[in-house]
Amino acid sequence: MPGSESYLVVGGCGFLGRHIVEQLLARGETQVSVFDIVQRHFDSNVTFYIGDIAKPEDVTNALKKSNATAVIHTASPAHGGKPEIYELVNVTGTRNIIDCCLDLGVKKLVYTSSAGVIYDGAMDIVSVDERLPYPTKPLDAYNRTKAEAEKMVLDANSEELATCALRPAGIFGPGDRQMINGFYQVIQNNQTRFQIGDNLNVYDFTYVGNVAYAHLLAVDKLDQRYPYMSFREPIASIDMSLGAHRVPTSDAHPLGPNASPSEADRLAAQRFASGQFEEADQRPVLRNRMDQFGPQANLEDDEEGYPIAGQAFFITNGEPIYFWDFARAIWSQFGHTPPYIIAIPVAIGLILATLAEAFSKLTGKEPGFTRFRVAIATQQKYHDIEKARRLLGYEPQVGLADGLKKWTEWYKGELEKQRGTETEKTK
Amino acid sequence: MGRLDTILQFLTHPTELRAVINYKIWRDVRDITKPEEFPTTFYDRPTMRRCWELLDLTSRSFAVVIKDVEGDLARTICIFYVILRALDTIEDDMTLPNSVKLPMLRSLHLKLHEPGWNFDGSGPNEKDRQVLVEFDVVQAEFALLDPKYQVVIEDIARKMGRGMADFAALATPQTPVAEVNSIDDYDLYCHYVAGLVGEGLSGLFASSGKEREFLADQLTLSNSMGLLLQKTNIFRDIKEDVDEGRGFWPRAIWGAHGFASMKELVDPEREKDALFAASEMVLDALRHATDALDYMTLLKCQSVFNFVAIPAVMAMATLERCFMNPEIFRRNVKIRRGEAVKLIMRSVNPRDVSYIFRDYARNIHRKVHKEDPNLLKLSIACAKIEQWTEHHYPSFLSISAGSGGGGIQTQIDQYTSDARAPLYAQMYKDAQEKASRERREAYIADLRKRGILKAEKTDEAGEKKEVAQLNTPGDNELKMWHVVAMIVAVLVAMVGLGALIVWVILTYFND
Repeated sequence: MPGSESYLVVGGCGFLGRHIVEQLLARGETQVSVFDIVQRHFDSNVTFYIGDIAKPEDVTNALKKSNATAVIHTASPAHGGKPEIYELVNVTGTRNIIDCCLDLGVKKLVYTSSAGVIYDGAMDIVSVDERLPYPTKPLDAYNRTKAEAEKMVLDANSEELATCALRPAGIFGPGDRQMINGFYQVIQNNQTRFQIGDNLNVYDFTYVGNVAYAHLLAVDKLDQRYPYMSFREPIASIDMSLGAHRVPTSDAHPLGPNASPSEADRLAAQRFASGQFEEADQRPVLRNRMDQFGPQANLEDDEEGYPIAGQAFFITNGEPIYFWDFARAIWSQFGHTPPYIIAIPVAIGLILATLAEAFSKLTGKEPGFTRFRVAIATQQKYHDIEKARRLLGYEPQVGLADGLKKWTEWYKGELEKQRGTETEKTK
Repeated sequence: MGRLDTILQFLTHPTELRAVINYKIWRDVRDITKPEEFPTTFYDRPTMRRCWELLDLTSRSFAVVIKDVEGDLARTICIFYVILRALDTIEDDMTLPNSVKLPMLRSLHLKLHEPGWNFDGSGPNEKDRQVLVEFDVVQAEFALLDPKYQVVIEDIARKMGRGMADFAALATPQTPVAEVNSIDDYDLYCHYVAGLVGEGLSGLFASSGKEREFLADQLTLSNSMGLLLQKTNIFRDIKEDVDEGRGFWPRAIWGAHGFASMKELVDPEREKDALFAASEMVLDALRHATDALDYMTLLKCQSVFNFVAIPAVMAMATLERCFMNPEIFRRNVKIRRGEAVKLIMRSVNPRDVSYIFRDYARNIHRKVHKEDPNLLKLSIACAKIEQWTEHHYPSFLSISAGSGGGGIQTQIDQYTSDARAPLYAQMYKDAQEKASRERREAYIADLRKRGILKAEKTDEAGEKKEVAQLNTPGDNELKMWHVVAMIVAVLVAMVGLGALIVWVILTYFND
C-alpha cells in the first residue's frame, strides 16, 4: 500500500528509527519525513525537521509541515543518562506527540516502547505474554518513564487516533554501538573466560530489522481487527536460524531417488514444494484456561474480531537463547574463543559487583561490572510473541545467526574506519 | 553388560537402583500369556503365539512397550511391527542382489494376502531373518485382524516398501548401500523407514477408538515422532554401521566438517571434527523434539501415551548420552538400565515428559563445546524446548493428587521467581469467584422457578436478604442452637447427677 499514507518518523536518525526510514523507502513510500534533534542522514527523498520533542511548538511544526497521517514515535534517550532527560523525552515528549496528533487530526500513532516496561529486575521473565501488568516497582527511571509513556499512548487510542505500542526486547544490529561495544570490551579486557551463573537463563535478543518491520506492520494494520476464528488456526514454529525443513509425509514428500514416479508421487512432490498443508494435517491449537487467547478462541466467528489498536505487543526474534551463548557467538565472530570458562556463582558475582561499584565510586570511573549487569546476565528474560504474530502478522525476517553476522560485520567496518582516522591523525 | 558393571552403575547412581527396585515391585506389566488376556492377545492360538515370540525375538526395547498397550491394540501393533521387521530385513540384507531385493520390497504388502508365502533366502547374518522364514504365520494372523486395521497396515507396508526400494536402487557395486546426500534426502529416507511407522500407528490408534479420529490425519506430527526416533538411532549407530560398510549420516553434514567419507569419522586422529559433525546430527534431530511434544499432548489414552512417550524420552536420553561423546565412534553407547527404568516410571503424562525433554536439552546445551561451529544454533534448539515446556506447563505450578477426593490439585510455588506467578494466582482466584457467583445465581434462579422466591422481586438488596434467610446461614444458626442446647443439656445433666450423688451420700451415709 505504498503512497497511501504520509509518515513522520520521530527519532528517525536514531538506531531503530533509521532502519524504519530505510524500510519505508525500500517499499516505495514517497511521503516520508523525519523529526529528530540532530540530522545524521541525508536522503534526497526524506524531508527532515529538526527540533526538540520536549517543545510542543517544535513538534507541531514538524507534524504540520510534514502533513503526517501516521506517526511512528521511536525517540528515546540512550540508557545511562540522567532521569530528568528520560522524563523530558519519554513523558513530556510523548505527551506532546499525542496532543499534537489529536490537534492536527493524525489518524495513526505507533509508539516504540520496550520489553523492559514489565521487568522489575527481581522476577524472571519466563515466556510472558502481554497480560503481565506493569511492576509495582519499576526497574529504573528509564523503564518507569517508558511505561508511563506507553500507558499514555494506549489510553489515547480512540475513534480519532488509533494507537499501539511495540515492546522490542534486546535490539541489536548494524547501527548499535552501545551493546556491541559492551561485548567487544570484554574481549579487549580479556575477561571472556568469566561466566556468572549457570548459563541456563534464556534471553531474547532481537534483530533491529525485524523490529523495524514490526513497526511497518503495525502502521498498516492499526485500523484492522483480527477474526476470532483465526485464533483456532495454528501458527508455524520459527525456524529462521535452525533452517526450515518441512517434515515429509506420505501426502507431501519430495520425489527423492524415485526413478519412475507415478502421478500421485508427482502430486505429493508438488504439495511438498508448495508449502501448503492439508487442512486435516493442521495441528489442533490446544488452549487451556491459562492461555492468553483461551477466551477469544471460543468466541463466535461473526463477532467483530479482536482490535489491533490500543494494544501493546512484544517484538522479539522468536529465538530465545541462553544468555552466555549469545555473548560467545558474538566473540567467535571476532575470531575469539575463550581459552577456558570459569563459572562464578550468582551470589559471588553480586558481591564482586558491589565491590566494583564501590571502587569505581572512589576512583570516579564508570563501573563496567555492576549489580545490574549481574542481574541481566543471570536472569531469564524471554517473551511469548504469539500476539504480534497473530494480530500483526509479524514473523521475524532475519534469523538470530544471520542478524548477528550482519551486526558484527558492520561493527568490524566501523572499527576499521576508526583505526583509519586514528592513523591519519597521527600522521 | 557384565554383572560387575551393573553393580558399579547402581553404586554410582543410587536413585536408579531405587527406581529399578520400585519398578520390579510396583509396575504392573501386562502379562499377555495369562488366560484372562486371551480374548485380546490370542496367546492361546499357535500362530499368534508365534507372532508374540517373533516380536520378542526381533525387538529388545519395543516388545515390552507394545505388550503394555491395552486391549486388542497390543496384538495389532505386534503384527504391524513384525511385518515392518520383515521389510527391514529385506532392505538391510547386503547379500540380496537388487534384482531380487527391489521387487520384493515393492510387493511385500501383496504377500499379506498370500497364505503360505515364506522366504528363506536372507543372508545368514540377518538377525531377524526368521520373520521371513515364518512369514506365513504372520500372514495368517494379519488375515484375522479387523479389516479396519488391515487397511492401515497394508497401506504403510506398500508405501514403505516402495520408498526403501527407491533408496536401495541407488546402490552400486562400490557402495552397496548408497550414501544419503542432502538433508532433504535424509528426511525423506527417515520418513520411509520411520515416519511412516508413525503415520501407521496414528492410524491404528484412531481406528481402535482409543484415540480421537483426527489423529490419523496428523501426518506431520506423526512423522516427526518417527523422525526423532530414527535420527537418534542413525546418529548412535555410526560405529556399527560404518563397520558393516554402510552409514546413514547425510553427506551434507559430515562433508561440511571436512570428511571425505564416513569411515573417516571413526578415525581417532580426527575425533574433534567428528564430534562437531556428530553435534550437528544432534542439532538436526532436535528439530523434531517440540513436534514430538505437540503430538503427545494430543493423546488421551494412558497406555497409548506410555507406548509413544517411552521411546521418545529414551531417544532424548540417548541423544544426550551420545552428545559430544567420543565413545560413539568406538562402540555402541547405550543409556544405563537404571536410567531407562527411571524414565519409564516418569513418562506418564505430557507435563512430566516435557520436563524430561527440557532436562536433557539443558544437559546437551551444557555439553556444547565452546568452539562448536553450531554453538548458537544448538543454543536456540535447546532453548526452544525450554520455551515449549514453560509455555505449556509453567514450572511454578505444582500438580499433585488431591487428598481424599482424588481430584487433582494445582498449587503455585510460593518461592518462585517467575513473574507470571502472581498473574496466574489472580486469574485462578477470579475464576473461582466467578464460579461461585455463577453457582449462587443458578441457585437463585432455581428458587425462583420453584416459587420459593418471588419472581417479580427485582430489587437486588431485598432479594439477597431473602436468599440469605433461605440460605445456609439460617441452617447454620439452627445447627448452632442445637449445639448450644446440647451443651446446656449436658451441663444440666451433670450438675443434676452431681447433686443426686451428693444427696444420696448425705441421705444414706450421714451417720
